[in-house]
Amino acid sequence: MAIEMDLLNKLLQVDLPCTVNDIRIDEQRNRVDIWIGIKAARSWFRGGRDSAALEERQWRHVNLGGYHCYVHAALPADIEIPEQPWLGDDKLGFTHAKAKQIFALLNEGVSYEGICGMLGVPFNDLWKFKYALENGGTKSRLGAKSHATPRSVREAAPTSSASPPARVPDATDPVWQELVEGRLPVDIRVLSLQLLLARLRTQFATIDDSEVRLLKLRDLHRYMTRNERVLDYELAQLRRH
Amino acid sequence: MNSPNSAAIRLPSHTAVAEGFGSGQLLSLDDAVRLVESRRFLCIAADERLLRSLPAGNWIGGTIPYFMGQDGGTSTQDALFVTAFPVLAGPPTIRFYDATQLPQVCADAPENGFSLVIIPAFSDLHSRFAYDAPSYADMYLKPLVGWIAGIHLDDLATARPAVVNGMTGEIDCERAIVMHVELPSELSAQIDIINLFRQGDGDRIIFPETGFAADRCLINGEPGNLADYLTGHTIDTRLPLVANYCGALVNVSFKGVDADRRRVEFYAPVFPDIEYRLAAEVPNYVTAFQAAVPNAERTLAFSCNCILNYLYSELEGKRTGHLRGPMTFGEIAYQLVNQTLVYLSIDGD
Repeated sequence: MAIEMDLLNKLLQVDLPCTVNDIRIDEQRNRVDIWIGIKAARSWFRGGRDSAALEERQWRHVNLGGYHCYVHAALPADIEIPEQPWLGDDKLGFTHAKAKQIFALLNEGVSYEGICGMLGVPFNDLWKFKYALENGGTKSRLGAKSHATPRSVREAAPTSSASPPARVPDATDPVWQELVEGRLPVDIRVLSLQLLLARLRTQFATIDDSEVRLLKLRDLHRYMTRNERVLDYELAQLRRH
Repeated sequence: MNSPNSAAIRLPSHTAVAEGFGSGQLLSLDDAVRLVESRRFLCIAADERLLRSLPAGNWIGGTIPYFMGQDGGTSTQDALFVTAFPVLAGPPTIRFYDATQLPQVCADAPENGFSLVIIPAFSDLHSRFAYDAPSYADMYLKPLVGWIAGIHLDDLATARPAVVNGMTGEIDCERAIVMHVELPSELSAQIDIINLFRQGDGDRIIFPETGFAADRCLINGEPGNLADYLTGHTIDTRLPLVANYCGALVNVSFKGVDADRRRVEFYAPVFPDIEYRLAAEVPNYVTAFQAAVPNAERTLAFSCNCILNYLYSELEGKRTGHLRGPMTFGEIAYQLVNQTLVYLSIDGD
C-alpha cells in the first residue's frame, strides 16, 4: 500500500508536505476520488481532534485514464502549500491542471461542445468556469507563460496554419486590443458587435490576467470572422487604421 | 385598457403568411389550425385558451393578448399572431430549456441561422436569463431573438404566462421554448432594434451591482438614492433609463418606485459600471416610429414590441409601419431589453 501511495504521489505530482491519503474507484460511475492531506498531520487529519478545523474542498482534476477524477483536499489554513497542479480554485471548480487544460482548448477556439466531449466536462461547469474567468473571479495562472510580463496581442497570438479571411485583420493584429480599449474611433452599426464590444470593455476593466485578456481578444476575432459578411461598414473602418 | 375585442380585426388567409418569411399576421383559430396542419414551422402568440386549441405540429407558442396586427395595435383573446419560418436548410429543431440548460442555447444553435426563444414572464428563468444572458456561451456570435410571454393585464392575479412546445402540446410556466432555425450559407440572419428613446442630457446614474431593484447609486459621481432622486425631481417613470452600449441604446424600464422603502424596481436588471441616463421625451411615438422603421424591402422574419410602448404610447388602433408582432412583457435581442422593438431580418449575400 505504501508503494502504491508513493506511486500515486508521483503520478499526481503531489509534493510534500502533502500526500495522497486515500483513493476510491467507482467503476459504475467511471469516477475516481482522491483524498489528499498533510503528511505529517495524517494521524489527526483523518478524524483527529483538530479535523473540525479543516474544511474539505473538492475540484475536478484531469482524467486518469478513462476515469473522471475528483480531488478532495482538507488542508489547514495555517500551513503554506506550494503551488501544485492538483490544487484548485474554488471559483472555477477545477484543479489548476484541469483549468489549464480547458483554457488551452478555449484558446485554440475549440467549441464548448468539443471541450465538453473531449474532457468529459458538463456544459454548466464549463460555462461557470468561463464566466469566472471573464469576470475577474479567479487568480489562477492559466496560460503557460502567464507569469511573464504581459505581451502584446501580436506576440501572444496562436500560430495557425489556417489563413483567416482576408478582410478581417489577423488575430495577431493590435487593432483588436485598440478596439476593446476604446482607442479606435469606430462607428458600429451592427447590434451584436455593439453589445459584444460593450461587454468586452467592461470585462477588460476587471480582468488582470493577460492570458485571459488575450482569450477575450480572440473571442472578438472569432466573432468578426464568423460575421464578416454583415460587418462591411465596420471592417472598412478597421482597415483604414 | 380596452377589453379584448376581435370584431374589428380583419383576418387574412393563412396562405399570405405561408409564402415565406415575414413578420407574421393575426389569424383566426381556423386559419392557424390549417397552417399548423400544413406542417410549417411557426411561432404563435396568443391567449392560452387558443394555444391549447391548436393541434400538435411544428410550432412554438407563448401567451400574450396584445399585438401589433395588420390593422394596428390591438388587444384580443380571440386571434393568434402567427409567424412562419420556411425550411431552407435543415429542419428547425424545437425543445424546452430549463434554467440549467438555457446557458447553452447559443452553443446549441446552428452555425448559420438563428434561434427564437420564448420565456414565461415572472418565472425564475426570466430573471436568470436577464442576469446571465450576456455571459452565455457563444452569446452574440449567433443570433438569439425572442420575447417574454405575458398575460392580459386584467388577469395578473389569476393567470400565469406560459410557453408551449407545439410538437408535444406541453405547456410550461418555468421553462423556455426554443426553435433553432438553420439557414443556407447564402443567407444570414441579423437582429436589430428600434429604440425611440435617447439618453437625455440629465444626470449620469451608475449602479454598484446587478439587480431588478436598486436603491444606492452614484448620481454624477455622488452617492445617492434612486427613489429619492426620482420622487424629488418628479421624474416621469414612463421614460426608461437608457444606457449606451457602444452605440446601441438599451433601455431599462421602471416597474415602480417605493418611496417609503426608498427602493426602485425595474423590468430588466441594471448592471454595474454602466452609465445610465433618463430618456429624453418622445413627443409622438407613432410618427417617430414610422420614421425609424427599416426599409420595407428587407426580408423580415420576426418582430416584437413592448407592452409598455403599447400602453404608454397608446398604440391601440394605430399602425407602426410594416413591422408587426406580439406586444410583449420583454423583448430579447440577444439579451433582455425593454420598451424596444426587436426585429430579425434575413439577408442574402
